[in-house]
Parts: sequence; structure tokens; C-alpha cells
Amino acid sequence: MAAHEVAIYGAAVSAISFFVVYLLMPAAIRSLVARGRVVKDVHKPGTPSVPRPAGPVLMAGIAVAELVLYALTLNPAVLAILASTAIAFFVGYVDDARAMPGLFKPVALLAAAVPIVALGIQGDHLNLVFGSAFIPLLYVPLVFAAIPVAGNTINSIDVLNGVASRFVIVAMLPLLAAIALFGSMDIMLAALPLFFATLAFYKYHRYPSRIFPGDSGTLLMGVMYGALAIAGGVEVIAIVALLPAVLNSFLFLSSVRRIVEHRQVKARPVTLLDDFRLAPSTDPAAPISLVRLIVADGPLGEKEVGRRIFRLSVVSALMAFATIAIQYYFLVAT
Amino acid sequence: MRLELFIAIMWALVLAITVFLVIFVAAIDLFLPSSPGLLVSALQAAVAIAAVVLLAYYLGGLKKAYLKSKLR
Repeated sequence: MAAHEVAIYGAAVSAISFFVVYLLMPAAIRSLVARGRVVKDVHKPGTPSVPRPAGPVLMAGIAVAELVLYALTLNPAVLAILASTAIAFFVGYVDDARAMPGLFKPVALLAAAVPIVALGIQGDHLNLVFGSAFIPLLYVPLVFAAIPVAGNTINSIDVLNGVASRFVIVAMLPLLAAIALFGSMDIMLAALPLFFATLAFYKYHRYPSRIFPGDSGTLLMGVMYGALAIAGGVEVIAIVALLPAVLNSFLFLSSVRRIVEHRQVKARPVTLLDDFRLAPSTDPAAPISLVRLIVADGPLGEKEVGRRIFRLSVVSALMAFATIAIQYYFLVAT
Repeated sequence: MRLELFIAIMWALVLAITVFLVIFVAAIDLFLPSSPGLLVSALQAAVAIAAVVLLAYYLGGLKKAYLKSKLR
């Protein structure tokens, strides 16, 4: 693809995804409030009601941009990524409407891996930073494992105002660079809507949140991130950029020791003090989480905890860029 | 230990696992070029799963050490 085509297509899909989300979100907020689709923001004085979910608007912005990109490139990988994202959005939307049991999301998200495998988007070589492995058959079950994990990893980092969206924005920076270097320009263009749609959403999700993403929002962000990493052949780099969220999931699962919906866990990892600062729980049955570790040194307000998670995401993004440099040296330069 | 250092150690473990996978998983395909694809994939899967289990084991140990110092 010529450089001017990349620039024009890139500008088009970025603008479409950004402005669809940016301009539709206020109407979505009003509509959700009018229909009573709100939840309590328990970390604030007065526990204000916040509309949820923002997933439908995110999906709309991404879908329009990806369909335009498909019309321009006719690359089936773009359709596969969109289809996977749409399936994840529907799974999350069902969970938003009616809280489903713990195993529902990981099992239902297996369907989101089908478009990728059906169109062979994953290829047959897995890039492993220092080399690559030819795994034509093994790659298929890996995709079915990776997609639900990616979705649930972003879902589980949606702990406080603005955290999940800001995390995805930061993690997308090394992912975009890696896909441009090791993947294809078509996939890099397909990744731009996720970045710009989330950027637009962040305006409404940042502290204090005016709308929450809901499972429909976080699952679509996570699955699309995973699908892009697979289509772009940059899975390891994508994992490095997500390390704080991976740590959060690992801590939760290893302390709870089963797959369970967060709402079903009675003991909370953190407690809310009278001044609305967050403090670590002293309940030995409480699960370990990233937030609990962050406030272990002393209670912090919600905004400060969000800032700490942001700092961790920047550190892991820098490590992802370092991983890109290492992989470039071993796979391209030598 | 700061969380940033914990994340950096996780990164080092991920890179160590990729080295292991490049050496052993990629080598299986090279050493058994005429074997059935299913056998090669099964062996690759076994090695990869062993590597992930090892990673989870070390991560669990690291987590315990970190929690001991942080959560009393």
C-alpha cells in the first residue's frame, strides 16, 4: 500500500471512529439515564448514579470505521477483526443486561475466536521476540485460548473511573508501532479505530465518570486488542503492554482459585474509608487485586489510585517498546 | 519492592519463556521434519504448556514473596 493511501485511509478511519463516539456519547448518556439504566458509583460521596453501558456507542464507532476500511482495502482480516469484536460486544451486552454466572463470559467469548480461525488470520508462524515458531496446528487452540483471556483481562482492569479506557489507550501505542513494523499496514489501519474510539470515550469515562463502559465496552476493547495482536503477529508485545492487567487477573484468580463473576465474591479486596479513600481489606478471605496492592502502603483516593495504575501502564508500554526493539533486531535486522 | 519492579520482573520472565519456546518449540519442527503434523503439534503443545506452568509457578512464588512484604 502506498504511503499516501495509508495516510488517507488512516486519517479517515481515525476520524470516523473518534467523532462517532465523541458525538453520540452525550445522547447515549441522556438516553440511558432516561431509561433508568444507571448504576451506583460507590466510591464517591452520595454514591451518584452513572449510566451504563457505553459499549453500544463504542461498537458503533468502531464498526462504521472498520466497514469503511474494508470497503477501501477488501482485506478479509478487517472483517474478521470486526466480527470478533462484535461477538464480544454482544456477549458483554447480554451480561450488562442480566448478570450471568462466572463461566458465561469466558465460554461465550470462545465464539469471538471463530472469525479469526475461520479466515486463517492467525497465520502459521508465532513471533517469539528472539525467533519464531512454525505452529500451523497449535496456533488454532492458542487463538481460542487467547481471545477470551484478552477480553477478560481488560474487563477485570475496569475497577475505577477511567482506568480501563486509559489503560487501553496506552497499551495501543506499542501495539500500533509493532503491527506497523511486523504486521501489515492493513492491520495497523484496522487498529486505529480501537485507539481513537477509546480516546474519544475517555473524555466521558475519565474521573469523575459520566458513563461506564460496562462489560459490552470492556470485552469489545479486550477482544479487539487480542484480535489485532494475533492478526498483526505481535502477541508477545501485546502481552507485555498489558502486564499490569495480566497481574491483576493473575492475583485475583490465584487468590479466589476459581473462575467466578466479581459480583459473586462476597469479600471485597479494598474497603472504603469514611473520607472515601480506598484502604486494603484486612479480611483474610478477600481476594488479592492490583488496587489492594497499590493501597497497601496507605489509603489513597480513587483519582490517585487511577494515577498509579496509569503509571504502571506507561512502564509496561515502555517495556513493550523495548521488546519491539529486541524483536526487530532478532527478526528483521539480523 | 515497588510494583514497577514487580512488573519488570514479570517482563523478564516473559522474555525468558520466549527464549525457551524459540529453542525448544521451534526445534521440534526442525528435528522431526517428516513426522505427522499432529504429532509435532502435540509435542509443541506439551512443551508450551510446561513452559506456561513453569511461568505461573515462578509468578506464584514471586507473588507470595511480594504479598508477604506488603499485606500484613
